[in-house]
Amino acid sequence: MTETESTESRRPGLSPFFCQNQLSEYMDGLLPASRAEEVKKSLETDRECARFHKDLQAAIEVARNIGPRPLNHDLALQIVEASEAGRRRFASRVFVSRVVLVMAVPLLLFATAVTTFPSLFPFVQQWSSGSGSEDFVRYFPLLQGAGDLIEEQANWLHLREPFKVSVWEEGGLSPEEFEKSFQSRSPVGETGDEEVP
Amino acid sequence: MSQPSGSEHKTDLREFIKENDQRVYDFCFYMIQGVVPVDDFVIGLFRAFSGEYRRLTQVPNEWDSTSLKLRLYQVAWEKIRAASVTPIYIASSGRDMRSLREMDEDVLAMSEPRDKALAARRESLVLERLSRVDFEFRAPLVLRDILDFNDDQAVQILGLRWAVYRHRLHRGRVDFKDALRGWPVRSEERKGSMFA
Repeated sequence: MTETESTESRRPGLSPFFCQNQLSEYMDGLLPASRAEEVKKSLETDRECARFHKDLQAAIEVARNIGPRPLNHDLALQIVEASEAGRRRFASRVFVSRVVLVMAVPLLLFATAVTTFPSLFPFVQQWSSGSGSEDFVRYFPLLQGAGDLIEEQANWLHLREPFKVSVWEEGGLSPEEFEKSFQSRSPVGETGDEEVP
Repeated sequence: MSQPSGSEHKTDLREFIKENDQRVYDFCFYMIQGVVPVDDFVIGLFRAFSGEYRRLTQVPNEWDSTSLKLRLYQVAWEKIRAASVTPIYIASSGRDMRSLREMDEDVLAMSEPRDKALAARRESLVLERLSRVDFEFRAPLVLRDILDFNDDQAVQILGLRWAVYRHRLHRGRVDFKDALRGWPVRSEERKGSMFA
């Protein structure tokens, strides 16, 4: 059979791709009757679809024949015990003892290092000597030279203020000139509005 | 109706577990075999479910055994999804440990095994091919075609919309067929195998 003949024979039915995508629904009997009839016809005429269908059926058969996995008696017992024991509490005795055990090692190492090399840990010494807030100095910026800076900036602005002129004063139009130049002079009668004197 | 006492609860829970442990174990086995140790996973699952069971059964007449069973599978599916996100490769250390000889063997073309050894080999091949199917597509296949749940129950367990479920079931079946034939599975090509 040539390719053209094959296409001709398929034309009234479904395309192979569409047919293959409908096969699960077809096998489970979920397709409407008319569509199921189309798929059936397509399976009769299209060898590729028929082979796909056969393979799919065989695969499903293999899946259905997979037996249950052996569940040994010990595991079944463990499952029952675990479910009766309930959910493991977060701070159970075992968990706490494990955490303590794990944390004890770095804590011991740290304590040894602090006692052996106290100069490496000045913050520990400060903390242990009990130094409080009296060690800190309150800072007043205006008394520490910030006033001079502010004054200098104010002088700078004051000196340059005369040079900061507006656009109107730099040779542009003053508001009065603008109004004179662009006031509306529509002729009477053209728009129907009379000019207000 | 009075609340059931603690011992009554325990008996009920035990019976419920005895009825369901085999199939739940199968579900977990087909879904996470080779990813995490299945036995420990199932024990953890039932431990987690027992709290849920107690909570749910506090309201009498609200939950029948079928809905409790579905809830158990829902919990299993949630845990399977979580486990599959962070797989712990114990034996393989992330390497592909599949035998090269068995990579492309056509299981569908194999004749019915005559003796036990051949049957066991075929079964192990089938399970290995099943594990090649992408995990999201495998779940509907396992529930519907292996564990014999109906479509509505599978939809409830997986928490999917109907169309998404049907699509995944079909993709799972097609990929399983390809895997059995020894062909590369589409989802495996796309995003890598669970074993890759």
